[in-house]
Amino acid sequence: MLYNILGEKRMEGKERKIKLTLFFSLFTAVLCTISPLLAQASRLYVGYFYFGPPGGNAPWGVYSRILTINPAIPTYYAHLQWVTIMLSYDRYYWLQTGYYKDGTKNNPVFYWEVFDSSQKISYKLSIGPTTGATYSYTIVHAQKTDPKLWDFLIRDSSGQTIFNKEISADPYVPIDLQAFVETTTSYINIGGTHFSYLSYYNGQSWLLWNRHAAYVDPPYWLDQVSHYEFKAGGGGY
Amino acid sequence: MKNYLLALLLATIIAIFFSIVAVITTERRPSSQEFPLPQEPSPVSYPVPLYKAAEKITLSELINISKTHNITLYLPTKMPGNIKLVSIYYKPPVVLLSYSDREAPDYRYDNVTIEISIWPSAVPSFGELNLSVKNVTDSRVFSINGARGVLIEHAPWGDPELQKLYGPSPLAFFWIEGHYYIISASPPITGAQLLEIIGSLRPLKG
Repeated sequence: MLYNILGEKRMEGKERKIKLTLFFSLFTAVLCTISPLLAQASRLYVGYFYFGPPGGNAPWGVYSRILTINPAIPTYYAHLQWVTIMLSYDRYYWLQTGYYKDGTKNNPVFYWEVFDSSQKISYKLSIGPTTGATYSYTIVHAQKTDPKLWDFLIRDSSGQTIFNKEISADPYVPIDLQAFVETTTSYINIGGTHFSYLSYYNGQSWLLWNRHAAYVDPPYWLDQVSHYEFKAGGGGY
Repeated sequence: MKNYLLALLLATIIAIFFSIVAVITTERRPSSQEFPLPQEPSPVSYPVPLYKAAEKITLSELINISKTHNITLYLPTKMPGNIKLVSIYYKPPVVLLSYSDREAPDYRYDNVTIEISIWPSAVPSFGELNLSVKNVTDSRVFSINGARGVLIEHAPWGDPELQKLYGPSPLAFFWIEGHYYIISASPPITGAQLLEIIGSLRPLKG
């Protein structure tokens, strides 16, 4: 009917406009729908890998002091700071301890987790670190008859042990070390992040990291103070 | 003109509708990669994957690395079907070799992956290895062609996507000349085939 009233050429122009308007509106609407989902599809990381040149000894432990921050977390998102011993990158097996906070909590809590060939255990402690205080987080091979045993330790700034647990892991040989801040959205501001005294255990003594490989996902920034210390911030928008 | 305005109004309503849907889905339905809720048994964290940080190197570069640091690396000389070496990732102390019979965006989607630690590692005795598989029905100790280690027939994947894609599949870890190796395969490669691959390992030469 419109076709008859307005004439062919005019209508063609109008129809094109309408179609274009509809297309762009739908396109914008779809973008609005998927962009937050795309943004949250991957995790964001800031921190260090140990960069182990050939000739060193396999690291049988990782240690770091981590300052506790307590950023606002949107619902269903999370913020974590941790040290990790990687057992396999391909299978994605690891040992990890640190603190985390999700959007349902007012304050962070300590946690440890193991993912290996026989189990996936993620254990959150009922207690957490005090905001502004520094705690040490350690994962070290137990060096017992059973080679699969590893020790997890969390200590406060006075050296008092808050948590100590022996865990079995299979396979049990470390292939890499990581110390990272992890968030599930860039809306989390990680200002104040501070890892220090990053160390590895060579089977006999603890040594400060002497090389590192940095990794940072925007919008976060990383201040590489030294091989064994970094500060990080950014995010929150 | 009226129709044009009508269409514009309709488009605006559609856009508002989709935006509301977007807000609702963002707030209430976390994606599978998101942080799992506390009561879920899945891990809190996911450490940084190697492909984010490692550089891809060529075989000749790997040969140079092994020569420079006087390390003898062992690579397979036989693979099932048309599987071949497609990429090498290097982030000291890890070398990761990816073998595939198809295009794969990264090592997670290949057929066989070998991880090698370039750090020297103390080789456990048979007694220690046997102790480590005690009461583990799915694992057994092996010694093939100078490689000594443990085969796990049905090992899960830490990445939920790969666990869903492949399910439990063979994994072996072993030592050759004081260096630690992990070899992992996706179906249909069996544990027996994985041992054949280990049996074909030979020193990498320039």
